[in-house]
Amino acid sequence: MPSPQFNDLKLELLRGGVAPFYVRRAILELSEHYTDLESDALAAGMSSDEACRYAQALLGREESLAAAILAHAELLDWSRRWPRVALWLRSAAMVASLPGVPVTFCLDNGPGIARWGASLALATLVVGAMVFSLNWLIVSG
Amino acid sequence: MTGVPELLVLRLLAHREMYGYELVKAVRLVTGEAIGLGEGVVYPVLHGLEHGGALKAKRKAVNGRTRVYYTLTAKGRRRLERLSEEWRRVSAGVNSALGEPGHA
Repeated sequence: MPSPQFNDLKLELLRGGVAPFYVRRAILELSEHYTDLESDALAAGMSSDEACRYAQALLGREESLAAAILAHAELLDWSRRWPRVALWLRSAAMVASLPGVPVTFCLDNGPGIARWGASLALATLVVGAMVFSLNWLIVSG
Repeated sequence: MTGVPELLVLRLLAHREMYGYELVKAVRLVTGEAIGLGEGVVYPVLHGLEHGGALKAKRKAVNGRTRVYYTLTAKGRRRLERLSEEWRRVSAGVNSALGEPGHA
């Protein structure tokens, strides 16, 4: 019988808002705990299948393990513990990043913008020079 | 019985560093099997205490296995003293009530 991977537990904890650091730690420790229980059972003379069942029974169902962890509010991710603060910070970060949008656009489309900019500058220079020459001719003529 | 797992964990870790499985077995041993921490329930207790600064966790590779050992911090020691005091007061109160026939 293969050792449990605790995938459902992992998903349940992440969905419940437990900080990823504690999710990883819990999975690691529970896996080690399972192996310890199984090894002790094998050492006590149980068969491989019996040892697996024994370890699973002692460790408990994944739903119970998830409920025990989720009951500890301090293990939740900060955004779950202070949702209003998280909302404000996310909104502020979004607003603060808005001025960066044109800069990012320019950086991404640098060569195109440079070509258009140079063409516009040249056109302005030519038209400006023509207008200036005509004005000068009219005034001096 | 709120706070009992926390008190037992802190008391046991005051002597030496331990990992989860070791702690569960130690709790059973020191309480004469009267209290058995749920095998999987010990971890949220440990993580909660670590989050509160009462414990410090350290990973160690032992015989190809990764063990997370917990040690008591100065804050944890103070918490243990406070919880022990509280428990003695509650315990004395309950004993007193059980011993007094008038209160039974």
